[in-house]
Formats: sequence, C-alpha cells, structure tokens
Amino acid sequence: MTAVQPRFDAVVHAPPRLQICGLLAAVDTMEFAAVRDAVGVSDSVLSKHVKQLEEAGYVKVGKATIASRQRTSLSLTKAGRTAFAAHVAELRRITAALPD
Amino acid sequence: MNGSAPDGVDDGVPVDRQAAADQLAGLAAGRAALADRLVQPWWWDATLGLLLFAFLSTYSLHNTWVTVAATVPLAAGIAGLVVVYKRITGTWWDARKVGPVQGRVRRAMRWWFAGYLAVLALGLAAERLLDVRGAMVAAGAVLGLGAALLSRWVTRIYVAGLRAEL
Repeated sequence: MTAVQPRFDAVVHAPPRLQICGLLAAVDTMEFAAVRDAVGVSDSVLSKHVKQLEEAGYVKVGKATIASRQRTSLSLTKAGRTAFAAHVAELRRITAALPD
Repeated sequence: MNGSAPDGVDDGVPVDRQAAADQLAGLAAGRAALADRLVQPWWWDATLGLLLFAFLSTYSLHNTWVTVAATVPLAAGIAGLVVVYKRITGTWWDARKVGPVQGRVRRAMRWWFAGYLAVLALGLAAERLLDVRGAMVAAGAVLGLGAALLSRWVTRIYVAGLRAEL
C-alpha cells in the first residue's frame, strides 16, 4: 500500500469543487443531476465548477442518450483521484495538530 | 476561521487548521449523505438472483441450444438492472475498484468465484454424469441465492465504509 503524499491543490480546494470531488471519489460515475442535488447548487454553478475540474484534467464528462433523454455523467480521472487524495491528506496533515 | 496563522499554503491559498477540519467534516457529511442513496431496493438483488437461477436451471433441460439462448435474457436482464440502478441512485460503482472496501470485496469475489465454479461443477457432474435430474436447478438456486446475498453484502459494507471514514 502506497502512502499518499500530502499536497494542497488549488483547483480541488474551492468548497463546491471539493464536495464534487468527494462525491465522485466514492463512485465510478455519478449523474450530473445527482451531483447537483447532493452539492446543493444550480445547474449553471455546477457546470462552471465541473468545467474548471475538466480543464484541470480531473473530471471526465460523459453524455449518453437513454430513452430519448440526454444524461450527463461525471467521473474523476486518475489524475483527479490522485489530486483529491493528496489534497485530503494535506487537510489531514494540517488538522493533525488541531487541539481537541 | 479562528484567526490563527495559516498552516498550509500553496498558490497563495492559505488554510488554517479549523478551516481544514471543517472541510474534512463537510466531506465526511457528503459521503454519509451519498451512502444513504446508494442502497438498492431488495427486489434488485432478488431479480439478480432469479436471473442467475433461471439461467443455470436451463442446464437441467439437457438442451445446449436452450442454454445458449438463455444467455440473451440473462445479459439483457443484467444490463437492465444496471440501467435501473443508475436511474434509482444516479450513480454506478464497482466496489473492487473504488471506495473504502476494495481489498475486502476483491477477496470476497475471489471466494465467490471459486465457490461458484465448485457448485457449478458439482451440479453439472450430478446432472450430466450421474443423471440426477434437476441437480442444476438446485445448483442454480444455491448460486442465485448466493449472488443476491453477495450483492446485498457488498452494498452493506460499501455503505458502512463510506459512513465510517473519509
């Protein structure tokens, strides 16, 4: 088992993006609407953050037509999983000295 | 923010301890909420088990063409279950590859596969070599029940893992 090297990631850091990455890290894919509901933001706000994550190479956006309806699914890329794990490790490192 | 000095700084973005702790708590809460929506209804597992049972039972008909043809409804049924799960939960996941219990699930799947082959071999031997009619129906029932229970168990430990730790 390889220990994750703590590394602060400015792309992941913003609260909505951190939440998005947290959800996507736990699954293979998650539908756009489900992420939107879980994070509690509008479609446009989620689109903006997803685009930033996509541009960083952290999120992959997939589109499929099911029963004549287009469904958009999101997934973390390998780079995204690595960046998220490193960022969480960094948050843990920072909180390690947090007094009770 | 508690006014303390920044403990982590990168690209000019400071994070103090309390903010980091709040973010970790937020992530944990998000995962717990996600866990709540990942559990499939009981009939999903039952349908999976019934599909496997129905397929394996066709071996008792001693007609290779029927068994070969039965792979079509089996594959269609499993594909349908995947679509239904995605529709219900908005997610798809493979616990062997993502999430908090990957090693445990991989081990369980290896045992399941070994058990599956053993029961299948016993059933086929009884049905074809010893001419015990209906042996594969019994084997199908065992393996169908096993598949349903395994599916339920995997979801249960996956969800528990999501709730337990980040």
